[in-house]
Amino acid sequence: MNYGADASEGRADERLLAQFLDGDEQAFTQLVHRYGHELFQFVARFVRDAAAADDIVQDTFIQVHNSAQGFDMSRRFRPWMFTIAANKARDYLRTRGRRKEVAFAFDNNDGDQTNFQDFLADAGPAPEDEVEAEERRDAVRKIVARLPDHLREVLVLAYFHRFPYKEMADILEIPLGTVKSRLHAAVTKFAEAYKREMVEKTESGA
Amino acid sequence: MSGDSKNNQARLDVLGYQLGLMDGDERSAIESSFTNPNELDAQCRAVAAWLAPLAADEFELPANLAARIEARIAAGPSTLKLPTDEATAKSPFLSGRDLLALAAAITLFVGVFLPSYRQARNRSMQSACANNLRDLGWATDLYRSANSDVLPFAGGVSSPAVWYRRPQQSAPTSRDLFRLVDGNYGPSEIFVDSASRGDYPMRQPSPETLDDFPDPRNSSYGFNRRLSLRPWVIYELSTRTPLAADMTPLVDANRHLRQTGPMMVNSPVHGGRGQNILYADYSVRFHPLPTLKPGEDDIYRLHDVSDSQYTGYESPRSMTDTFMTP
Repeated sequence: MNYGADASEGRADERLLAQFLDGDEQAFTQLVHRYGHELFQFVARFVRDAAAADDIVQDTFIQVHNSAQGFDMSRRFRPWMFTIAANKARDYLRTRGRRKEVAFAFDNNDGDQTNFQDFLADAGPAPEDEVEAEERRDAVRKIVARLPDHLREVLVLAYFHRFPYKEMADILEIPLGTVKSRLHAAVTKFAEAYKREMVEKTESGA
Repeated sequence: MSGDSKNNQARLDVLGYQLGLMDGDERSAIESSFTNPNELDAQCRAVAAWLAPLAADEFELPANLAARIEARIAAGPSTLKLPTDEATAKSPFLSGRDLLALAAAITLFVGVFLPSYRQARNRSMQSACANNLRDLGWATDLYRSANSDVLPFAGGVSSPAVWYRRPQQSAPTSRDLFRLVDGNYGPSEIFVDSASRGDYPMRQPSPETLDDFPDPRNSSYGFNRRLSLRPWVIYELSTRTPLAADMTPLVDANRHLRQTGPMMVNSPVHGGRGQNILYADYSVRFHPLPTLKPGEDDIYRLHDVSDSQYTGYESPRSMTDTFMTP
């Protein structure tokens, strides 16, 4: 499921936060209901642990609640909230001692590929659905989990949450060019690995 | 799609265009770069098809998340109640029995937990170091992708066999690693070996001040210099070719460089227990042995060695020979 920024709602989030700051606790509850699940999916996809994501999302909303007074109302609420969640998720990954070391199995015969567009041109259409849905889901989750943290977080923010480049740069506190290069790398790595997985599964099933 | 119908920037940004990450001006630039709108549509459909499997990466939503958040907020910050027992407050001094118990507890803690703590800390640093190296591999791959398959460490010498005989200024130095930092190919933290106490990340340098690592504590990993002598591409390398290693590679008793001080047999940054090596397939392995033979050869570092000091015979004898620089 993709979560895009809802332009039709204007600055509804900021209005809710302003109402909350005026003493309306129900306004904050609305924000929790509005973004709780989206934030959970973001954090879970990033840290790859549902239980940890549950805790991180709770902590994020508590920090939002406690720090709302300092929020600059000229900014957007959603990227600010994601910034807090991303920082907490990164802290968690660091505390956990990083992920288990798993080497990414690259096919070094693909040394020619330089970017996703080149990959598309070389690879042709995406693999057909000859593999069972369950296997495909497992393969996708395994591949995403093995992406380096800094590539995975950009991929999740871009694909699932559709943050504009500039907002991703703010959330991740990195230059705009870095966001683009990381996203490009993440998508290329994902597509390459997925293609390889599907080919292997198709051949083994044949 | 014909190459004339788009420029390179547009080719790179079709991904952002398809995902809707651009502002209006950027979208217009992409659209105007395609003479045939159908080509842009076809590109977008292809991008979408390859991204579609990602939708399967969905986590099951936890029950009552919003309610639990509200409950925690309603409960407010938790506070610890201080003991109010009068007996505790009677005397501010510890009895002899208390002191004995305290000493026993401290002794037990030091004897049992400290070694475990050190072991856990070493494992943690070794793991963090390996992750740094792996990130360095990804950054190298990004750099290679964006620079016509040229790897980032170009030392400017003609042969790995003779560089140590050249004047020091001609030898490659770690300043070449700035290309990775300056080009935003990876986080600057990756240049710090996590096993080195007191090290700190590289700061983002400006092109005007591009120079060698300004402080010894910035020194980190050594790159496989030989790979960059000409535009090698990854597929020409064995997957077991080492790309980078900890700051001090392995030197054994038979093939060594004479240096002042005791001879090193293992990287000191991991307590002399071994060394993390990054290979061309971006895997990282810790080698606990004092010698390493990837591709039937060892890894050496020729740091701070002049002609007169050099007594080994580490000139490359085969294409698999690997030399590290600081």
